[in-house]
Amino acid sequence: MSWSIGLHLGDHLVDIVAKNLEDRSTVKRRFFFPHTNAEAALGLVLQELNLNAISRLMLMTDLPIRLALKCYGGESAVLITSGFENWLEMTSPIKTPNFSSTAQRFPMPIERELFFGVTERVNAHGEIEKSVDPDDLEFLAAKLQLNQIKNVAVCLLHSTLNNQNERAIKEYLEPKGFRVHLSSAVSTPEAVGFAVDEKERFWTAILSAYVFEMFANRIKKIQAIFEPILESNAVITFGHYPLSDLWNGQVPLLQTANLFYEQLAKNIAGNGPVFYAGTDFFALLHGGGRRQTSWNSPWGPVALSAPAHATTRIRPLTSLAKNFISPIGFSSEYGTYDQGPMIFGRSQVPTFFDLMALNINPKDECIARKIAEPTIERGRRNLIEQLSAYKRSFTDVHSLTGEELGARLFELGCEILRDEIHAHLLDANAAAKLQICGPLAATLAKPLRGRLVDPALEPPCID
Amino acid sequence: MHRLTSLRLYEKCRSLMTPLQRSALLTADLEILYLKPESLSDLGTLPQSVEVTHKYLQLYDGDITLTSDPYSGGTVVTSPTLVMGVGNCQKKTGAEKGKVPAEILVAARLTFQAKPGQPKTIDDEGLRIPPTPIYSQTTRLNTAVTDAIKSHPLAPADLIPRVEAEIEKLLKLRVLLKEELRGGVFDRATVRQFLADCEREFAHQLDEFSEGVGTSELGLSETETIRVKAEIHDGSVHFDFTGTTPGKNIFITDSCTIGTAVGTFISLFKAEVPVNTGVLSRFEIKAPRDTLVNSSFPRPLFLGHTDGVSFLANAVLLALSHIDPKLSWAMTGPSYCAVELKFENGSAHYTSLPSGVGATNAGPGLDGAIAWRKFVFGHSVEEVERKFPVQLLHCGFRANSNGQGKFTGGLGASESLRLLEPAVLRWSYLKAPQKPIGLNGGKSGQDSEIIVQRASGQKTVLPFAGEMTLQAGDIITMLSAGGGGYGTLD
Repeated sequence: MSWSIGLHLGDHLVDIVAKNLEDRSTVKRRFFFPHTNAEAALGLVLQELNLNAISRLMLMTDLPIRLALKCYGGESAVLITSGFENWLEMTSPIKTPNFSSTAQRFPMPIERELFFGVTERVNAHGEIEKSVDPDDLEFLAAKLQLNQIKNVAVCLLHSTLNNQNERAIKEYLEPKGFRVHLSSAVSTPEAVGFAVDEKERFWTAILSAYVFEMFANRIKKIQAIFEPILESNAVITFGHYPLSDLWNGQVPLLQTANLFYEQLAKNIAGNGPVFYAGTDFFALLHGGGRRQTSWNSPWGPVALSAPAHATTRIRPLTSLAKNFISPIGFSSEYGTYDQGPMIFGRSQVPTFFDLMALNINPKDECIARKIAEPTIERGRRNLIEQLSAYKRSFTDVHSLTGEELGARLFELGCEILRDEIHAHLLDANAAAKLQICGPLAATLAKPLRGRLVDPALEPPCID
Repeated sequence: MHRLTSLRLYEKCRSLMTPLQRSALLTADLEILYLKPESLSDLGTLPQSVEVTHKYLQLYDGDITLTSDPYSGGTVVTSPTLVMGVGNCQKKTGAEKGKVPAEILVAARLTFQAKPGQPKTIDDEGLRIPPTPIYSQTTRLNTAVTDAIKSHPLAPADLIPRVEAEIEKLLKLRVLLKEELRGGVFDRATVRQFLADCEREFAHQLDEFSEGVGTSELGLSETETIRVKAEIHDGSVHFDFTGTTPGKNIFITDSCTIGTAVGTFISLFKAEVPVNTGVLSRFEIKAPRDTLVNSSFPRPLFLGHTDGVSFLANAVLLALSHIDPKLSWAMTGPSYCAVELKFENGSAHYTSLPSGVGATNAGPGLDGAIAWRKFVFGHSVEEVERKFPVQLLHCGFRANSNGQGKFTGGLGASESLRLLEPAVLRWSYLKAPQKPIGLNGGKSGQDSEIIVQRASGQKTVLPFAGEMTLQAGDIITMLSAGGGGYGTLD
């Protein structure tokens, strides 16, 4: 029997759709691996499904963006028009929400010392005022080698008007073993379908260079897992892109991260808005064919064409902590599945996920219960103790139990989510047509209901 | 369950205000519930805009007004504010028949390109619009007003389209707010409790700091000095600006001074402090009339409400550093080095720079950042070069401009550009008598400078403000100040 596989790889979640090409039957599975990464557990998944011959494998993942956000990049450097080495860092946003004596930027994915100036200049008419000097390149290549750099982003001003200088750098560096990511390649209409300014172009090239090595390693590991059951002429694609196009630079690396939103918009959204309740994040797709052309990364805009969407402040792993108004509230910090939620028995910091787990009907399908069965009782006990301890900080709620406080907080979290959805949509009618989908949809549909109808509980179809 | 009810109200305000950038939410009794500032001055001037507007125009549900007058609560004339009334209940004594009195007031502020230089009065800085009705549920958009604004030579070209887009946003928000009013989220008891909880918590958190008095005196020029006496006592914070000189070139309104003093103080807290009437009730601020921190119409305000605010914040911090080491924050580069180039074809390029942030007793200052404003710095270099006959030669951190110390101050910034055609240069920046001061043995940062280098090679360091004609080939270099260091080097 030959199978066609659709695979969506989240941080700790795998959605797999296997289609039997002979009898056209389909098997859908969702696996959640809170304590390990998806690749490590994929082998077990395949074993369980007992697939023996795969003729097509379609991958989808937002791994490039996740790697960037977690600062899990490889050795990379930036070559930028001389005089502008610090410009991108200087124009990157401050992460502290309020005015603060401790204001910080997000740490740069590539250290300041690895931004090298290139003496060259293209003017605003696309004329080369100064060509790249081969002696300079030799010196730069030596510095790159000294720093054991493998991926280089080349970010020259006005390179969309004339990329001769960028190409000259690529032609010099590639034979020396460097993988070169040109900013001018980002702006080609075939790549992203719109013109981008230099900040978007530069950040796109830089983050591509930064995550490439780690991304390639992870994808190759996944390939290796499938290798024994892949047919000799099996087709492997990233969304609709052949995987080979990704490695030879035909497909923008970061763009692949948005394939998920594309599928969600295509298969679920139709014309209306969709709330995706994922295990890592919640996202609101505006629907109506609206698109966005960039992603506001923590460092600056990145050219990414996608259906218009926004992520919410409350996420599954939003931590609960004391804030100015209340002894316990929703903080701006997020936990990770490696440590938390508390319900899994390791973390000491309660999260929104814990509140969800505490407040679901035991008969409901819920990832927290299903996956964390071995640890849930200990985790639940700790969570309730923790909430009871918080309760003591309230001067006016002595009569509440830890569970009751958890219920109130869950209600509040859902109300915040509802308000965020409404504020993003700014249109009560649109909210009434909202669909909800994703792994936590079953848990959140009911509490979010009231203004939400038609919860679509199926996972996004990916094949 | 008061605290959770208060938290619900706060989170509700925060979520609902998501689509608005510089904004405020007040009750019709002018209690501030939620502030979302982009600059320190917004903390004082946004509520003041609402207060003045509502006092004179008495807003009803769906009414929207426009003002850009800094003497009616605004900040600078290029940042107009829209104020909207939202109401749900008709049963209110004194209400006009058929109209629903406002129960909630929303302010939304827009930001347009500023105009540096050396203006004589506020009216030289741009179009000053007093609080004016611009939209109502009965007459809709007030086209008489929008047409008049459009035809005014000092109005930004995109002012009315952006105002109209913001009105649309506000009207959609109104629908949500009316729903919340119906649901009782903003009922009197909840609002009172929320403000009382915030006041109590602020007083409680003040216990983290020592009580005491600290003073500072900071010269802005040879004739202009800010004097501050700061006092933390019995759960309250007092700032007294008595002794501050009248302005000669720097002028700040009292609402801007209040916002700056409050915002500077709460920036020293680890946790995010919401600024609302509850918290503000623990502040007392004295800014004597006709000193530079409480200037009167028609003084120009651009330089005061930009660089002046940064200077004022530094003066407040210096005074606080004498009370408790936990409140120590070395001086941040106070000037944004605002520059405008006007070309013969009428186009104008405006630019400014971030500066080095002062170090604290907890760590180094941030390089090239705007400590007291949230606007993201950084125009597109390519766009500037496409739109204007200039070429940027350099833009980045200013090497060695920070004060050394146990913790170093942040680096200032620098930008150089060469003119490809003649242009008129207008500029304004603070050239204070002292460099950004380090604290507790930390060294001072380098001061700001704007330098013009003629094509002939002749260099001139520009004074604090002015206007001059430049030729093709001339180079302008802006160097913003570095932050002061903290503590002595081992």
